[in-house]
Amino acid sequence: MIGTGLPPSEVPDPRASVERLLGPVRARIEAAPAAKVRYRARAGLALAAGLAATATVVVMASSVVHGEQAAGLTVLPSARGQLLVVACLLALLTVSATHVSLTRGRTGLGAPVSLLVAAGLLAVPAYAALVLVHPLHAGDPPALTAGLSPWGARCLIVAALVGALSFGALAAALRDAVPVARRWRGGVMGAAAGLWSGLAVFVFCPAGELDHLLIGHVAPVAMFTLLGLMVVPALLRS
Amino acid sequence: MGKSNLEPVRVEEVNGESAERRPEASVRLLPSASMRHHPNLGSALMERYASGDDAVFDQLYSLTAPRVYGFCVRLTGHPAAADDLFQETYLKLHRGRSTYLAGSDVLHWIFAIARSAYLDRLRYRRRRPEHLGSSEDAAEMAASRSDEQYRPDADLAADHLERVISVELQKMSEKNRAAYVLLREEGLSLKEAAAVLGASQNAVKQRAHRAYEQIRAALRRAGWTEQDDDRNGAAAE
Repeated sequence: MIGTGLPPSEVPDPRASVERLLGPVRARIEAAPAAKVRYRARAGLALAAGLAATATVVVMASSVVHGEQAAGLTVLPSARGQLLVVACLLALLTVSATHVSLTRGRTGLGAPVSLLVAAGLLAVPAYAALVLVHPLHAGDPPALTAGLSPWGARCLIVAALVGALSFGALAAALRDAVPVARRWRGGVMGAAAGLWSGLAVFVFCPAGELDHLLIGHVAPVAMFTLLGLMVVPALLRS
Repeated sequence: MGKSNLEPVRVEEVNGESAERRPEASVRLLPSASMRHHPNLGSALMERYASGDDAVFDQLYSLTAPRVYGFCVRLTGHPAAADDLFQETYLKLHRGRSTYLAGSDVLHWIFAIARSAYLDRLRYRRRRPEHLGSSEDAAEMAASRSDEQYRPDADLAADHLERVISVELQKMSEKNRAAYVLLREEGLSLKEAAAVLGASQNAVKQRAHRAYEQIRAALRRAGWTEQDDDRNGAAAE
């Protein structure tokens, strides 16, 4: 079977069209700025922004609010093994989601859509499972967690700030890049930003109560994932 | 962008044959398989362009534009809309050039940009409906000629075949159309088409199959048989 477009009588000669359009194309290109920073540098900057935001929370916010740096990582000796495992898995989850959202793959067109869908759908349940199934501070003496907001309001604010910074950095890195499967890529990008915020509050906060963890820790990850699904496709359109 | 010091590489020269020796060039929207013969050249040119060498744009354009234009015509179904989409595609390529992955197939990347730009246009049109004349026009134009008599002349037969295919392509969903065009006309593999369309290989296979079946049914309704199809396809090739 052949296929050539419109009926030949309506199709302009492609060579003539292409030559005719070179002038207008050139004019539009000359008037438009091109991004000068290479993609790898942009992606590196986005990763650095996520790391910097998390580190800032570890160093500053936690000591301001809880009087102790990285209060969330202060656990009873019996829970140190669990802390190590959960912290490593959370870091791995966060970096993996960031990588899946930013990678150009082998084709230059990004991660396969099946991987994007899997990452987008699994990020929140995986995070929730890690922090809710055996909450790290659930068995801590009450003195350690005294003064915590029962609904995790402070964690929500910290997570929103860290997530927004990561979200902005990742969106800036992806702008004009990888023009395929933008909705799912947006979802994974939002999930990655949410996971950075989730990692930050994990380090920031020593809470072990289910309500607090659900609202202050897990909800931001879910919200950023949804935000990514809904907003990123439009943000990435130039 | 600076003025190019290099003469644009003409597609005919890249192919090593002139258009005059190929009478079907006036019929085929894909006047050459230049990128198929020179995939590394496209990649090398795009790498230079991505690193800020504006002078290679003309060469890159000459190498890729014919197939990109054909793809745009197929997506939009209307020459004027194809012109706009084509320009938009190269503008986006320019804006996003720093994100090009060295060594990847530049044509597939441009196809993805073109399709993405086309989807943006569809969304924009859905939000602000106005008559831009595309698929409906193509269908109307072809329908208005449906009473023309078939004559057993190879060119007219090919013309008729083209009309049926064109009309049917514009009737189907954008997803099916894009899958069909990339697989059947642009010659991409299933894996490549899936990457360009941002869908799974199975989904692309099903979409292309649905498109193919729709076209086959339309050809049968128009009085074509499989043998006619093959014979006239060969004549037009």
